[in-house]
Amino acid sequence: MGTLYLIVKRSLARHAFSSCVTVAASALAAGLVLAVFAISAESRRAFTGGSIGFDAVLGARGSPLQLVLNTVYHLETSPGNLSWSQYEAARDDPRVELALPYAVGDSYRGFRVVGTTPEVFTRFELHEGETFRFQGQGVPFEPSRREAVLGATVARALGLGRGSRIRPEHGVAVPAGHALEHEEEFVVVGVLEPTNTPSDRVIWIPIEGVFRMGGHVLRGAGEEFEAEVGEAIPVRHKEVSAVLIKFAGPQAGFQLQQKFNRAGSTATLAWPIGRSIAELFDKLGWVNRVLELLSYVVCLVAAAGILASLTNTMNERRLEFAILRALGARRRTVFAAIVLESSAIAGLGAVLGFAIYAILFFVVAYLVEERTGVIVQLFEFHPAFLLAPLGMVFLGALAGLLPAWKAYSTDVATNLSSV
Amino acid sequence: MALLEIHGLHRAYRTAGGEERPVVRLEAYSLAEGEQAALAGPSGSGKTTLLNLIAGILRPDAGRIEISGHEITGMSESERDRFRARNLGYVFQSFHLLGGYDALENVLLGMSFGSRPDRNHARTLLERLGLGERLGHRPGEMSMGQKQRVALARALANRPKLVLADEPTGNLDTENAEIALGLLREVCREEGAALLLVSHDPAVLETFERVDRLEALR
Repeated sequence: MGTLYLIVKRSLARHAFSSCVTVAASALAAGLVLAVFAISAESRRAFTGGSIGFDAVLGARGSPLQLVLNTVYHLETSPGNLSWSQYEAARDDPRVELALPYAVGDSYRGFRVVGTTPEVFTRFELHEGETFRFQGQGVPFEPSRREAVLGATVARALGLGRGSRIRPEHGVAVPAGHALEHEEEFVVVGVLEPTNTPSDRVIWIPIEGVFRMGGHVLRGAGEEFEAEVGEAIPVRHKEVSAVLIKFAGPQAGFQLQQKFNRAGSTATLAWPIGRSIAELFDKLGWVNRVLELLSYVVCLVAAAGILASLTNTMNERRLEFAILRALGARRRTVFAAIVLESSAIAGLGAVLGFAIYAILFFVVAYLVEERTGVIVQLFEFHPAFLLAPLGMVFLGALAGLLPAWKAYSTDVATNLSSV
Repeated sequence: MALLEIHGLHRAYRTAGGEERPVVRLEAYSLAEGEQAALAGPSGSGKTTLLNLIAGILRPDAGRIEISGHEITGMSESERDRFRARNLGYVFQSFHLLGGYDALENVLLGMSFGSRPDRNHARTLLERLGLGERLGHRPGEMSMGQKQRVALARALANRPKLVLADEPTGNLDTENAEIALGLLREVCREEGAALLLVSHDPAVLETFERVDRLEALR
């Protein structure tokens, strides 16, 4: 084995340029395979398996996926509104432990504004027994005041803190420079500790503040109503974008799903939340298949590169093989040396492929976190971490078979005497 | 006691026209253990082919070659390879050192196919041949004379019973040729290896007590 190692090492060094190019191609191929499989699996896990603190989302009749994307991940637009009475019905249902009303539709410098009740800070538990924690002296907003609480990413990205003042803009995803600012100004009274969830990208304000924002028209009673300063808003006019629900027991999901999702209902209960997202991933499965196929093709191209590179060196190496044979090396020894060399190129590439994977992953993870607040884990184990390097080495070994056969077939006497 | 015995050896090449052209015909030849002998013959007389037959690199069309009582003509190719690695040393006219390897590695590689590479022995041999300062040098960094001494060290590294030398001084100037030949014969003697050298150079041949002409052995 020491002899084979020496032969391979010296050959790689002698053909340093082609060795580097083929190792780089193999690294790219292995990195791509790792990225396609691991990022896809980890993204799915992060979006469907992470704790979001709620069991279901109640919203207007429509797509559960849109409802979940809008309320949980703060993407897309709201599919419509529910009346306040529908929220109250959900809140008062004995099968519901906690129901939080969400009113959305405004934003501030790219971050979404969510109107809700202070219960989001006092009763909502992101994990078992763990409510939102405030940084420093931060406190929840007063429901009757124009106060705001910022998620950690919002505060960091916009350089805001306690005492800062913000004026929400009408609409979401409005291009910079085209935003229409509301006149109402909200004072930041608290900044939350990071949670590594989409909540880090939210600006929380009292739901009453959303109702009373200039230009907001309430249609809870079917007719249009605009709140007046100093006057109470009749409950029948109030409406919410969605209600986030925590169930009181394990059977509640089935029962409430039947209640809200029955024919003729004006509401939709998205439950379980993870399933809606999983359906999205399933729908996008063909994209993954295409990417997988592409990564396989890149692997084959890399293996073809190894084959071409080694085959090109075979002519100049005939004398080397003849000398080795004359020294007593058996045919299978030179055959093994070439297969080992091609496997080593692929193996080195596979190792470097982890670096390519890490780079790709960091880019994807950054983009996912930037847009959704969801954290995807780089080092979460995936079978591809084992299978991709092994597969690459196997392909490399296969690519070495033809040049190895040429080395195996080298005629010793002819090649020794040709010099 | 005979180390090498050859009987009725015949090897021919088939030309493109299908004609069989004999290259080696040797009725009988023997070499004793530790003996040093030269085989003379003009270019194209089959000297190199004969050495390749003795080394087991080629198979004869007919005849028998025995080395230390082992009939190598009856062995499989793999067995001949193993036998060659363990029992024979081969010195080529063009040295045939491996370009990407330094002097020590060339010798170690020569050892590795027959036994466990002995770094100390390889180093000692190279030092004995005056290459102590050149262990880490590659062939491209050495003179012709130095290259031939590395090739010599490689041929002797496995303590072979028989060293085959094919025009070992053919690519050297007169001074280096004398030095290389002297070293080759001296080290073979010290190591107890028999030497069979083929050459057409009268200056080389006249240094041997036993010189056989290939034509006479047919």
